[in-house]
Amino acid sequence: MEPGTTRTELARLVAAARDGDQDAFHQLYRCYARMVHGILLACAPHHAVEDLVQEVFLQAYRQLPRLRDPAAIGGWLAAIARNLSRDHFRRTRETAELTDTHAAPGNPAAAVEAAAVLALIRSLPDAYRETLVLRLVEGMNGPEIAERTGLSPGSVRVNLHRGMKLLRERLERRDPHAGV
Amino acid sequence: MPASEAHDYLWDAAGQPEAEIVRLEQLLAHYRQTAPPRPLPALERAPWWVVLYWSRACRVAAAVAAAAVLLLIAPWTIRRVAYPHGSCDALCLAGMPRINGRSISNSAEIATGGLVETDSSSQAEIRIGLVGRVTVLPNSRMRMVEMRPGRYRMALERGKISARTLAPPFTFVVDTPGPTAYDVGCAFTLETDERGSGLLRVTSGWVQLELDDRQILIPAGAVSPLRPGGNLGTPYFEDAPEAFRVALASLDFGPQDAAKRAAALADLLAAARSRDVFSFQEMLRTASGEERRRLVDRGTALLPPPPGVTRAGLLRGDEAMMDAWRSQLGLGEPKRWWLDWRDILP
Repeated sequence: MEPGTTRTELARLVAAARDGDQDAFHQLYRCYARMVHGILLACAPHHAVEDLVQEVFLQAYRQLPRLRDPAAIGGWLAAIARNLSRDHFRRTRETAELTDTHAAPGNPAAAVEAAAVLALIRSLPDAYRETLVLRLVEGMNGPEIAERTGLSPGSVRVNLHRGMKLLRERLERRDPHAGV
Repeated sequence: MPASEAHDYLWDAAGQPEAEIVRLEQLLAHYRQTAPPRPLPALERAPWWVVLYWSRACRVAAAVAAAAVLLLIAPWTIRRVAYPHGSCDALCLAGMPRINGRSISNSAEIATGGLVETDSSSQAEIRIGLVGRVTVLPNSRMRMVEMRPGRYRMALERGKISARTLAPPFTFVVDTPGPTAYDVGCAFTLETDERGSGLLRVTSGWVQLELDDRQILIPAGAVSPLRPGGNLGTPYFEDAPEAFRVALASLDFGPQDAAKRAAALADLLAAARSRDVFSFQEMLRTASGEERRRLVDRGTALLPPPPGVTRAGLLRGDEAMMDAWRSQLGLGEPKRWWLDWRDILP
């Protein structure tokens, strides 16, 4: 949700989009694209994520009549994103992120390091990896993550701290002297 | 509290940044979504039937339709379950009761015309849908005469039954060699021998006994003796004083010698309580002359009638006045039989 978008405004946008108002839906797209991108990136390869984001919203537009509670749109979009990323994983069976290093501009060593860190985040339990990607990759803060995914702030906070602790342990195990 | 301690950088990305997290943010930044996001291709709306299917109006319409179907089906189903037609279940409660001559140890179906017999050690229960249950006690013989919604008729040839019913008045009928008992929503026991001698005891609601042109409505707590040859005794409350009951039996079934009747009546009037005026009122249906005058005088002394009811009216048998006087007994209304549902619970 863009700052200042109230629940009433959100409900209005969802209702309008459900009635076929494409402008309203595009507004929702701009509000939630980053959250959806983060959730997809927690599972799917980076090169496929942009396309999958679009697929999530196209599917959401078709299924919008099923959404009963406009306030639940964040969690609903997140669920569609998770389903699509799982489908994508089943289709492609891709596990490595090597191609992502080619896409990274500038320092190739940093790109390799970034891919390795992302792979470590993806190896974390589901609850932690999505929250960490939204925080560390998408740059959203805790309250924002809670607001957009529909999770409670308490859960997000716990997920962030436990996820970060696990990530540190795995980074140290990988290279005890290198740090991040 | 210092600003750095007030903030948790991992949580709110504010305050003193944590070097490790900042480094991770910078490292992973190139995976971040480009802003603004790529424009969406042309949006395709859901087909109209999907929109309709998921719409609130459609769900409400479906719920209304389901409710309507239920409303249509429910009375039929309830009637079918509650009011069996042509047959019902007979259960063995003790020993080996016989249904149509065959001993049963568990349960059996009994149809119209079927005969239930119990010996000295057996008992059976007839379950008539939700209308009622009849326990056929030892040494009894009862036939199912009619079974259809609105009328369940049995003939108790001898023995004793205990019945609990919840049905509109006159749905449940038991013939005996003497009178016929019509249930008015109640619980009762009825016993008779082959010659028609027995007793009706009402424990809840009302029962109407009919014989030829005589009808007696008996309330809970009262009994009505039956005598051979269609001789119906005056009903009385079971807790009536012994002297009252002896005198009443003498008047009903004793010698009809005038002096003895006068003495019995004097005993009866002396022993009666206000509640026993119920029996007086039944006696007044047939009493005449001096007996009638004495019953009215003692009865009105024990249970004063409401204003508007006169001695002369009671003596001449004015029905409206008799009804008004009966209402003073506070025995309730037979019409409100359905309020007695607790009494039929096992």
